[in-house]
Amino acid sequence: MVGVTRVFLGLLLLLSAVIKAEDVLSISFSNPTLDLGDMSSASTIAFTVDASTDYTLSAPATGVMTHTTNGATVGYCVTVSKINSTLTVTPNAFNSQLQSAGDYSSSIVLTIAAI
Amino acid sequence: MKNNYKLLSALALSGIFSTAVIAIEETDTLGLSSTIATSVVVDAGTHTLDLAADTTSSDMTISANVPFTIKLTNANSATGSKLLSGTDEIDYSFSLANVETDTTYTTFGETSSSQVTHVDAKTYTLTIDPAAITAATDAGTYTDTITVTITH
Repeated sequence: MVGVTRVFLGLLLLLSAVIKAEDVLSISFSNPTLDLGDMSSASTIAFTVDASTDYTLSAPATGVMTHTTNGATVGYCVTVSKINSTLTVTPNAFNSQLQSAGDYSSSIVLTIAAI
Repeated sequence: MKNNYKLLSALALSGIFSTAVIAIEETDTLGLSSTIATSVVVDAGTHTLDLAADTTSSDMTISANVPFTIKLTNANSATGSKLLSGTDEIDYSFSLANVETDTTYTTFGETSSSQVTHVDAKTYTLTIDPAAITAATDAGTYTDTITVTITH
């Protein structure tokens, strides 16, 4: 009887482990690209989280927009709101008349991790 | 039975362990884009150079976030670089120079050969150097108009 109980508990542990390994966890932005315009103000984009467990969100706190041809840069800050499921990019203050004209680009990796 | 228990326990632990080491982590990448418009600002104003008062230079500032060229032309170009008063004339030479960029323009009608970018305002000084004015020079008002054209 004791042996049967032990086998049952063992199977239960194994089952719980398998179930836990199949937790749902995914994240995706509402749009693959965020246009910052002329970088004169902050821009926000929404993302969708699908999680069956507690999780954390993380992204680099800062980044750099880089001119696609001459390498000029504009820094920016990143804030992530777990409550609102939004990511906000705030370019550093600068004078667009004094910043090299043209196209700038960068990318941000948002990570969701189970706790 | 005891061996089975050990096997199952090992499997259970293995399952738990595998759960612990599996990185339950996902990512999504957001591309960022931006475009800054072209801006060229020239502050030249209108200056009158008074040769008699030995006022022979004036400043203008240029700021541009794109490369640009400079071209100077003068109203009296048909006669060359001359100040005219009716049919009387005084030859002169000129220079438009920026010390910071070590750039100097001295020929009317020529476009600067290389493009430069000023993301911050830089001062260009236009200096006129008239030929000697002697007692034989007729009195009068001698004029020419110089136009600085910025192209980007």
